[in-house]
Parts: sequence; structure tokens; C-alpha cells
Amino acid sequence: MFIPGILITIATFPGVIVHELAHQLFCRWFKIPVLKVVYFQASNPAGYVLHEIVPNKWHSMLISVGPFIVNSLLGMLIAFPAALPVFKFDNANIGDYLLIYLGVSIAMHAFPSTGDANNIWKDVKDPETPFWAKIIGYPVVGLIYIGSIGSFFWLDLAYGVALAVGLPNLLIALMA
Amino acid sequence: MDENLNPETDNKPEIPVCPNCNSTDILHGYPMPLCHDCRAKLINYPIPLWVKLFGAGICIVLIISLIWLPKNLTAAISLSRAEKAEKNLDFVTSQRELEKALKIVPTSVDILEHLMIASYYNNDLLTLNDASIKLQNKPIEDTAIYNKLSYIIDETKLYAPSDTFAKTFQQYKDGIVPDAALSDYVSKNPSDIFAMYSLASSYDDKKQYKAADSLLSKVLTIDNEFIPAINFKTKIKRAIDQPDSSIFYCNRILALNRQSVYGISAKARTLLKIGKKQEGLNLAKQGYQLDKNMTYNLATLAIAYHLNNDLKARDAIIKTTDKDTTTAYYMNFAKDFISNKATL
Repeated sequence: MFIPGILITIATFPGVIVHELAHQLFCRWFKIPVLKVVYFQASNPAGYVLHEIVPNKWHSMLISVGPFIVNSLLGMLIAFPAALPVFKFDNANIGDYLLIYLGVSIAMHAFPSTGDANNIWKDVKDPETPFWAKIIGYPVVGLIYIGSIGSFFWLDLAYGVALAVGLPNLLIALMA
Repeated sequence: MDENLNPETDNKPEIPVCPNCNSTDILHGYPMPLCHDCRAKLINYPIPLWVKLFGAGICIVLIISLIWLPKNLTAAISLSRAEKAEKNLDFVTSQRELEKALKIVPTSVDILEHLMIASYYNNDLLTLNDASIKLQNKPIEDTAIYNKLSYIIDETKLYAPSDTFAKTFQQYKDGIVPDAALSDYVSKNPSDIFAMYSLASSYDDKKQYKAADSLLSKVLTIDNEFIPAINFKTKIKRAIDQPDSSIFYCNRILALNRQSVYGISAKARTLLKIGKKQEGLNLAKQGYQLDKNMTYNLATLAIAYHLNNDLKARDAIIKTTDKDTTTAYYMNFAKDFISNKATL
């Protein structure tokens, strides 16, 4: 069954808001002026942050990748305790399913957009970019592009589910 | 979720002005020509109230999750350890972990299912019954678990008298049925395991061990994994001086549950009987480590200490159980053994 991506985006809107808010907060952290923020809209792109060009390559990369870290951590932590009653204890209630929905929604929007990838790409190509930043930047851009292409095949959703549901089970298995 | 950059326009004025307030007092050294005030304002670009409320909501949810996390994590680790122990047939460990998990998550179907399995193999019928009551009307989705629980329920049904048995012997209000009547019933109902087991038990009380042994063999022909009969065999074979056979049945119990304290203790008694005193003591100690309250093994341990001339340890065991009436039956046997009134 084909489900238009926009419907999935609407259904998982909390993740989009968290993603854009993370961009904005990273800009504030690095003292970068922000010109416009769209936290959520029912079109493509679902959200964006318009800000000044970031002169520091490291800051630029963090502003682009920041939501990946924030959404991944937040999605995992929110879903973790709820994943256990659902998948381990078999005694889940509606609250657990809501937490899993929220965790997956947030985690699946962790992937940086191609816009984010383009920014990092510009930065790493810049001759002034330090060598170590290039070493980190190229694989990151590659992964982001793969993630972006993969979202067509629900890779973002798979990532969200893996992080919010699979990781707790994996950790339990390792800790037991 | 694009993050667009470089909003510069093509119509760059000769004298740069702040695009936000048209001020010419530009702060130089930055990519965008912004005045000091606008730069400071845009760095702290306002977050709308609804986004702040949304963020606060997410923070509250996160706090709730973090509060729930440690308990759920502890219970999940215990459940996983129990499942691993169950796979290794270490049912004492499994039950111990499950009881820890159940204290945190008392309604967990998964925990109760595994607790039923562990308690069955540990012969803890109270826990088994309690768990099965809590599981009533709960859907069991895992087919393997469902089949296992069905098997356990079928097996434990054999621990109780059948309707025919109860009807036949309802005249015996005190439940004591004469051997002749039982024997007659068994010959008419040769597949009634409960009746055969009851008769074997009665024969054992009267020290008619060969007859008991024969009946228990018939029980095991019908149901090769009827645990009470295997347990019983260890004692009967020891009583009729067939230690190898007794150990064979001990090992059969231990093949079903590697941590069966009864199996370990029965094996210890048989080894003690054939003079392997140190091995017997070691096994009794092993059983004690698994369950410090199992009276049958406490008695075995006292006997083992006695045979190994550790009278201080023997008396300490007897003293700790002296005030406990529930241990009296087994400890009296140990005391009789020590005073040469009984043999293993």
C-alpha cells in the first residue's frame, strides 16, 4: 500500500518540530543570527531554519547534524521505558503506546535533510576547511545522502523504530 | 526540514544597510551586514509560545520516561536473565529473577508465563498455582510458550485425583483409602497415575519398596516425565540397594532441571549411602547454596556433616531448624539417622 510521505510527516509532526527547534538552539548556542524558522508545515520541506552563513566549519557541521543527535537521544529515551512493557513484559497500556509513538516520531526525524547535507558538503569542499573536518565531513555527508535516499524506502521510519524499540531490547540482551 | 542559507539579495547597496532595520551602523566581520541590535536580536530569534509549550511537554514526557526507566530496566534485565536461565534449565535462578521482576511489574504476562514454567520444574506448586490464576483469561501469543504451559497444566492435573477416583473413594472422609481398595481401583483403572502414585506412596510407608518400585515403573511407562514419580524413584531405588539406579533417576531429574535441589539432595543421600561422603557433602552444600530453606536438603546436609565428622556444623544446622515445625518431618529423620535409628 502506498502511503504518501506527507501523511507520514503529518502523523509524526512532533519529530519535525523537535528537529527544527534543535537547529535553532544550536544556532543560538553558536551565536548565529536566525532569520526565519518554520517549525512545521504540511508541505515539502516540512520545516526549515533560515540563518546566516556559519563561518566556523565545526559550528556549521554541528548546526546541521545537531538535530540528528538531539532527535536520536530524545526519541530513544522517551520510548525506552515504554518499549519494555510492549515488547518484553506484555502488559502495555495506552500510555506506553503513546510514548512509543512519540519516541519513534522524534527518532525518525533525526536524519538531517538534503539541505543540511548540502551545507556540510559546501563546508567540507571549502579549501579553508581543516583536514580533520574534511575527514569527518565527507562520510557524514555520504551517510546523510544515503539516509535521504533511503527515506524513500522508509529508512527514516526504520531508523526511528530501531532506535526507539530495537535498541532497548538489544541493550537488555547485552546487560542481562 | 531544509536549513536554507545565504539569504543575500542581488541588489547589494553600495553602502551596506541592515536588512532588518535599514540602519547603516553595520557590525563588520560577519557574513551578513546586520547592525549590533539586530544581530543580538536575531541570535536570540524568538521561540513562539506554542513551541515553548510543546518543548515543555516533551521535557515533561522525558522526565516521566526517565522516572520509569530504572524500574522497567531492572525488571527487563531480570526477565532476560530468567529466560537465559530457563534455556540452560537452571530453574532456581530463573524463578529467583522472575520473582524480582514480578515485584516491579506484577501484571506482566511474560513474567507470569515464565514463572509458571520455573515453579513447575522447581516443584513450587503454590507459586505455580498463583501464577496460573493471574494468567487466567490472558491471551498467550507465543505458541511455544502456550504449548509448554498446556503441557504443565496437563501434568499438574495428574497431581490431583480424577473425578472417577474422587467418586469411587468419597466414602473415605479422612482420605485414607485402604491399599486393597486402591489396588483394586488401579487394576480397573490402569492409566490413573494419581491412583498408582498414591498406592506406591502407601507401599513406601509400609516399607514395601519392591511393590512401590514396580508401580512407579508403570507410572513412568505411561508418562515418562511425571516428575513426582522420578523423584520418588530416587528414594525407592536407594531403599532397595540399587544406588546406580537411584543416581540414574537423580540425573534424570537434573536433566529436566539442572538446579533441582531435590535432585541434588537425593543424589547426595545416595552417594553418602555408598560411602562417597565428601562428594555427598559437596552436593548437599550445592543444594544449600541454591535454596537455604529446603528442609529435605537441610536434613541431607546435617547427615552429610555427621558422616564427615563435622559435628559442629551438623549441630548448627539442627539448631537452626529446631524451632521450625515445618522442618520437623525431615529433621526428625536426620536425628534418627544420627542416633542410628534410621538408614539412608
